Amino acid sequence: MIAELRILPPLAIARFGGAPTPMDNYDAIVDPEEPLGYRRLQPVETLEVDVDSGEIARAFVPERLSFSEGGEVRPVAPFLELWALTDGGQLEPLTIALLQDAGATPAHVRWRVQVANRKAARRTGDEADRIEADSGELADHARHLLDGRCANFWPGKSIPFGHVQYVKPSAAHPQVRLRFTPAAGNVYGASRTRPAAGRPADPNVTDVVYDGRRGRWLGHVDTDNTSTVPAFIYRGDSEGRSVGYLDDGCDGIVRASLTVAGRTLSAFGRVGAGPPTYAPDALPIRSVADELEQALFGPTVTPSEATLERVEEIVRRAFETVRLMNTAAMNRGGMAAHDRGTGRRADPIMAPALVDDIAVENLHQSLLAALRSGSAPWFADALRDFDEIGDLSDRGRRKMPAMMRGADGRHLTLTRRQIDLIRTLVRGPVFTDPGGEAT
Amino acid sequence: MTIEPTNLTAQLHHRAAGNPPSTLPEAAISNCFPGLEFDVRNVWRRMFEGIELHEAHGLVTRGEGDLEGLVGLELVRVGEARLTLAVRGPTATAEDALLDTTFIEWSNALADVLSTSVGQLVTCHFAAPPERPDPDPPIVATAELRVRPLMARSDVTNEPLALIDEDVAEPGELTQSLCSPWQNDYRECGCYYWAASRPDYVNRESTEQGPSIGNNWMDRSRQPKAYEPDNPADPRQLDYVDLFRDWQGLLRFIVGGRDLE
Amino acid sequence: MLRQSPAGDAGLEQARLAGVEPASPPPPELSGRDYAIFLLRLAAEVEHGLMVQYLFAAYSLDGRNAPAQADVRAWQETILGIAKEEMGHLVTVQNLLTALSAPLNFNREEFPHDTVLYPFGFRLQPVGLGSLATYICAESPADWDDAEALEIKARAQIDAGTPVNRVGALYAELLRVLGDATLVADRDFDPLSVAFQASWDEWGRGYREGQRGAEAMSGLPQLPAPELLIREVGSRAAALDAVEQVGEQGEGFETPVDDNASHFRRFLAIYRGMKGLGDGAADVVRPLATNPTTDLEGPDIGGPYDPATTTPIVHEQARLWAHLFNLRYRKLLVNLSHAFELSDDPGDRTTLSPRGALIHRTFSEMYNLRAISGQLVALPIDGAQPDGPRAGPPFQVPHTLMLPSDEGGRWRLHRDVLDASAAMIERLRDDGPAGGRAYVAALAQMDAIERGQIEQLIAGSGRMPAATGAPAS
Repeated sequence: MIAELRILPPLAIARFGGAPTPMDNYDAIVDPEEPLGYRRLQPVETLEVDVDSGEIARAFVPERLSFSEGGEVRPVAPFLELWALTDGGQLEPLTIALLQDAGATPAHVRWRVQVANRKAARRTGDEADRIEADSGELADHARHLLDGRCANFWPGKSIPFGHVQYVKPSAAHPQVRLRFTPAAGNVYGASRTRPAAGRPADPNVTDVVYDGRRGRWLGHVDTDNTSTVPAFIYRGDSEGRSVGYLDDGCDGIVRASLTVAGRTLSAFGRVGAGPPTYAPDALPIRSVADELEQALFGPTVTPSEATLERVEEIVRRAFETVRLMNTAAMNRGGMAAHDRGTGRRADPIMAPALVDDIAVENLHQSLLAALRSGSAPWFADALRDFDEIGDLSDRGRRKMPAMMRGADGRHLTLTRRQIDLIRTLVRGPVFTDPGGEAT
Repeated sequence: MTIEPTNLTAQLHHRAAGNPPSTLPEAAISNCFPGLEFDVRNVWRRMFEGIELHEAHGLVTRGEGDLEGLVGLELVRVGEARLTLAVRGPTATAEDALLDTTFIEWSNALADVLSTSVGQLVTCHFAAPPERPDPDPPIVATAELRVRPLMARSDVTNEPLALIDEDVAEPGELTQSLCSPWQNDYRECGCYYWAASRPDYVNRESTEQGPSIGNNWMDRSRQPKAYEPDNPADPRQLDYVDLFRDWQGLLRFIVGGRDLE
Repeated sequence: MLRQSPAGDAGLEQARLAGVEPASPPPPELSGRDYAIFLLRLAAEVEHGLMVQYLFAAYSLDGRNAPAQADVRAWQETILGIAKEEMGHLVTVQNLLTALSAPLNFNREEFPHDTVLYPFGFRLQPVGLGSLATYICAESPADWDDAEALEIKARAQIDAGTPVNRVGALYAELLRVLGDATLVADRDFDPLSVAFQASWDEWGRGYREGQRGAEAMSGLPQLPAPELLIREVGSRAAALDAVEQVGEQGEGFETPVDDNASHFRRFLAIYRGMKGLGDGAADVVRPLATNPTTDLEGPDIGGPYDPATTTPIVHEQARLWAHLFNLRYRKLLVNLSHAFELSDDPGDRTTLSPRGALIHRTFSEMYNLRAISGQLVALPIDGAQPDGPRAGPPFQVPHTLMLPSDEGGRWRLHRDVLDASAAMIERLRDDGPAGGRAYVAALAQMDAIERGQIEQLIAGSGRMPAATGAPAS
């Protein structure tokens, strides 16, 4: 008996690209022989979906990884799997067999995807500026275009947000899943007169879609404190007036439902489409996963959660970010320049001798090396607390993470949960073995 | 393969078959100013039933019924949690001066409230937006508001799910405050705070004098290696128009710190 | 030289207590300035020696089984914090030497340890009431003489074999000499040398700079964070200020009101805590051997070690770790002294010298010393006695601390130490507990990266200097 359905992962991120073949699957692994180096990108099992039948045509491990194809980027098109909570009390994949046990078939599963781009509507405050796509209820295994429609578009115009396909379960791949393929990452334009057929005059845009006489997006200016922060982050002219550009990014909700014997179970998940990760062997120091974990589990950790592995992962991510930043330049620019805007004295953030990029990278590598020995981290005092973002003294600005901007526009701090993880480990024994046993 | 239904970490990080690691939330940046994949600040706007807040600060943008009077005011404190701070630092004339006030990002400012008071009433304190920096503006209104859960709940286990609740964000709301078009973000000054996603300094090498040299990721040509900070007006670097027209052909993937050939 | 009289501190101390500044001239064969330098070099050795002994003491604490685990951890962090502050003192003393155009001193063994100005004979030993008593006495203020003081002084004398001298007396003498224009002239202080001195900006690492305050150590919030005092010295006034600050922080010129403020008070609190444990104190200290050494044949003639108390490290694996420890200690000292040789030129903000990298690498080596200590304290010193004393960090002084005078030679020295280290690492890679092997693999990679950078610097450092009299070609 199926008690509940869940879509996993609960939040899936697609990434733009115009190439016809979606990006292969890979792992990014820390090399045990070179733990201070870059994660190694290793091709792993990749699923290829047949466009017509909707079945997984093959599962294979690519020989080489290529992120582009013919000058275009290969989009990342995530699968969203349907899982079932069964009587056994566990979550398991919803497969043909499990459906059969419940007296159903894949034909009893329905999907529906609703995504939108509200970037213009957010600025103008006009609901008619929302660009929305609704797949409607999907029962078949064909590709369905997510067509972004807007009341303020020219008649017949839309922005394609990509497509979705209910993958047809088969004997070799029996799980129920949906695939979301994002759009190419194009730019769309606006006009005050009906656009002519054919290629747009403006070479920046793929199509002119927005009716600048109907809606206020063309010519919009951020004016008051309802504006986004930062403001003026849309393409504008020299007076900050929007030129009406839109993109094919979106986010939204995926629903799945199973109706059998008059009973309907449903689940939902979330998707979003954004730009590629251009350094695929690196992870950001602070991520949406960190936010969701703090929201789920709170700002403090239990001692058993504070492991060397978790702390090492945070340090590794700091290191992966730092080595792609020019710390010498950012010592005077970036946040240092931003602070000058508040009237703060124009000092560099760190002593200039210290910010050579390679030296900073080496220091983080030493930290990683020492953590591997099982020594408790001692840099907890160097971390900036969430309520220290207003401290622009020399000492305050030198705390970690340094030279980066946070969501409030001030110097970045980790989530409170991340900081507590590190501090809780500090409270433990100074020396432990990698298994966590004090030595 | 099975997953424990209460193992939310496993569910959040679940890599469905065929999905590369960039599909996961750990690959999406969250120092959202405004963000790349999502502006997660939007998740907090409806945390208090009856009002809606700005994603970046305490401005009340909507209020239902009696609460409509709060529109235009700023939420500055929730229970014991303060949402604003003084910004202080040295100036040309003083070692420690009040420079500004700042809101604390929702995620950290309200972490305690979220972890202790979901479903309960909390006392919310509102002030008029101050004209000059004021870390402790006078409170002009208070309201007892119920804390809405951010995460969806399982009807069966009655436990939270690793999933942002439907009421929290409608389709389009998680990305609505990002740059339009998104390419703008790659060219805004100072967007190299997400270097792991949008690299800044690449093809680095050390020199005989000691310091390193390398390229700005936005350099059109990789020779000579002379890093200059991001400047769309610098003809040696890509500009907005280049990205609108051909970001796919011009931007390079960086693996091992170097252009992927 | 000033030898100690059997009665203790005698002349100097009495004169100070009488409120009369002795107007005594410098010892024979020393001019006024040279005497100041002599005292500073001694101070450097004292600070260096204390720092190392305190580190050993901190690593000897064992919080695993203690019912009062949090207290033991707090003691450990407190002593580590004091050690960090000693490092600040050491660096400030090097700045003072630089200001007087004198050579740096990172040695620990040039001065005999039985002068009245040296606190007690150097000894690496696990922490106990006896050793704590010696530390307390060394750091004590002049007017500490209540009943507890007498008990602790007596205990210290037993542990050290002689009465323990106050480091404060050394700093008092320094203040007197540096403040006396007939001994050290204004022109003897070189303001241009500041460019070569260590700044808090570079070395402070975010530790509070000279501000008393409520900021706690985040991991153990009931403890204040260490306060790294690093003072640049360009004038007499700056020199006097620096010596006063250093003295006040640790060596207790006055008895501070704030419990946590001085080394003296902090050690005293730990002493009382440990005394309160009674027999339970044995449970919170690892049985580390005294003065562990890789030297199997006994110490060099005239060395500071008491022949009766060095303990050769015989356990094969522990020996390898101990050799590696000594090498990283040497590397730390080479990084530190090399950094001082490269100026931080405020006039040139565009070119970065390797100074910054050397400073970072000094800290990297501190992390290494801690990591390797973790391995050592878990291993027996003698394989034949698996339940016997544990090994500990040996902190043996390298055969030379002299730095070559040209950049090329200096980078070659760095390379030499890395090469010797690589040999140890190779032997440790395949043997031993998983944590050790993982660390060694990472360290090997770290060293390989640094070695590549050093090769470049050697290549760029130019040819050897031309022969005397001939123009450089």
